Amino acid sequence: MADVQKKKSGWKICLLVIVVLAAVGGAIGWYKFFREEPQPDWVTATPDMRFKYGSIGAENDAGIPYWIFFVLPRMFPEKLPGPGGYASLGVAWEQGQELPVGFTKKVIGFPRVANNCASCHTATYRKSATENPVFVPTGPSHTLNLQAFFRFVVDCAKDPRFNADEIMSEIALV
Amino acid sequence: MAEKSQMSSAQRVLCRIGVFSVAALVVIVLVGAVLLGRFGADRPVDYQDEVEHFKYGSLGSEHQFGVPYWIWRALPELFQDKLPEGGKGWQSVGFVFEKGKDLPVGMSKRRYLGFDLVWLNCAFCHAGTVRETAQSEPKVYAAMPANTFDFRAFMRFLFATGEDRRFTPQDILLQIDTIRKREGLGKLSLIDRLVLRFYAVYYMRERLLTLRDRLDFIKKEPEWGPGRVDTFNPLKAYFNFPIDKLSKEELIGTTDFPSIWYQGQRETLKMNLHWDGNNVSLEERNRSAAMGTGVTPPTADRPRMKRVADWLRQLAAPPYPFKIDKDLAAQGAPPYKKYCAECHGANGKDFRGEYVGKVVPIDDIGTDRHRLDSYTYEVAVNQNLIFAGYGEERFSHFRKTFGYANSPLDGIWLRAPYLHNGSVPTLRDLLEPKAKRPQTFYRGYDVYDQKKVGFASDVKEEKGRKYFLYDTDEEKQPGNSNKGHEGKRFGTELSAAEKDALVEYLKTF
Repeated sequence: MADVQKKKSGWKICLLVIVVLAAVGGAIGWYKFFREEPQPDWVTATPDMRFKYGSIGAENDAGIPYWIFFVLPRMFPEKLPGPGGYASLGVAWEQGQELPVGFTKKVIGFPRVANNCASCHTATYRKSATENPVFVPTGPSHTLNLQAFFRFVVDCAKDPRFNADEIMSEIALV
Repeated sequence: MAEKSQMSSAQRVLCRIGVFSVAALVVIVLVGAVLLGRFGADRPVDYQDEVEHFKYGSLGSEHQFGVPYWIWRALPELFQDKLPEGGKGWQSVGFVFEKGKDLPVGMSKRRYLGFDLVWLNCAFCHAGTVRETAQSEPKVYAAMPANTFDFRAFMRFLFATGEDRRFTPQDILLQIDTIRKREGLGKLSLIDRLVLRFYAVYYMRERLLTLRDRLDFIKKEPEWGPGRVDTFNPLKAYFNFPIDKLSKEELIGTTDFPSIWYQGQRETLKMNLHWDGNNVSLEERNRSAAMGTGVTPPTADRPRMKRVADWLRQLAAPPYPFKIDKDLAAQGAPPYKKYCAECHGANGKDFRGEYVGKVVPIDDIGTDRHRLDSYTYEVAVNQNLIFAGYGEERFSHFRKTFGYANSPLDGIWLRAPYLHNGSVPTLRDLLEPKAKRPQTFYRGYDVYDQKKVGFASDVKEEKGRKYFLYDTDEEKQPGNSNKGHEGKRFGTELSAAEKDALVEYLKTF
């Protein structure tokens, strides 16, 4: 008699433990992988900035984890069209900005990088070779080598050095 | 009765397992504590005095680049044949040793990963010596340009040791034992020996050879000589840019080490820093320069770096220690005010002036453009990723400029040779047009030329130590040209007497 009672309450305790673990795991999982943070205020401060750096929602399906994005040019410079990291792709990159124009950073659990309209629709010009470029949002990106960017990420992923050990140790250096 | 003894034997087994587990746990915790105590410490050698902290304090570079202290001691003895001709000890690549010190100025020590590791701090590029005569004792000045330090000779030596077949645990441990015996110390402890024998020497050699390959492109540049470095091309190697794909024009960026006193006023007057004025933020410039010692964002010792930064903000330039002809100097004040003050400040302590700290277009100043061209827009934007992930510390102030920035002349007597590439040996020479400036001269000698104001630059060799022949011919040595900063606006058309007075006046800065 005592045995049967023990079994029933034992089963309930197990269930409770499982439910609690699932809830905790779910909370952690949501925090680490799904929690969305709004982009910093300066991104949406003006329509200009919003166009250049504002997320259009691509991070969910096509976002590259920020730190992987960060180290790829250092790990695989031979897969870029030339020296200069991402600058070698002909992107519009404003001085002082963490990422080139058209590359948006958003936290969905963890920071991710994706593109927006401005990647392809920001023109650049220089009045002379001894001046810095001027960027014109909504113009055509005539300097951007978009195919080289796609080739780059795909080539990196195909490379046997693209694994957790190598990438994590590279990230640890910065 | 039988049941009871059965249960107790099962219990006994469980008991034994329990006791064994607890005992094992205790042993693991104890061993762990010992290992943590031995290998877990991160303890730099600290100094009370601010000058000592600048010269020998740690910025955290040992975390990534630290060399075990005893290997550092052994290298110049074991590989003496690899030091510059006739050289002995680290002095022969231009390191400065103060009396009674086992480490040179610019080298710090930190207990990390179980060993005393040594590596560099600000002072290895920003401290130097002056002698009044060839017989005098050298005087060390902190925050002056490292006039004797030959960076490339240092690198060449280190890489040569890594390539040598004697870079083995056996040879290095034997040399360490020899040194320790000579100094009356016992043998290395067992753990020290084991780690050096089976790990540290091999790890160090691998890193030396990797560094050698990453910096190999430097061999193609004209020799820097003592007191000079290519500031931004090594940064491209840090980013892992394929150097062979860079344009030819940007591959030479050699500059003279600058002085770093009186930083506070430079900060408040928002001067453009670095020779080409590419950064207006003092804090950012400091972090950038610290990376030149081997500090990285995760491993920087921020409190100790801040201590140096705060000290440099208020540090006064050392006054000229030799005789000044006060009457002659007074005659130099009016031409200074007329020709120099606008760009270089009112005097050595008051930096106000319309163009002080501003970038002068390269065609106006006319000096050698290689340093300017070595710093590109691509480098400037890539620098925006440095210290990313550390909030406000992320770099965001680097800008590509198209000229060189005007610097105040605080302590100018100690900043020889002159111009951004150190191509003019004395102030008096700088007041002559290019055609009359020395075409070749010797660098690295620290005896002072009180007449022309700068270091004596005609000494080829002294006591077996050879000095570096600097050639200003831009065909033979691109980047070394001594042109520019000449013409009426720059004082080169004044009379000889006026120039003498101006130089005398500059001694008071």
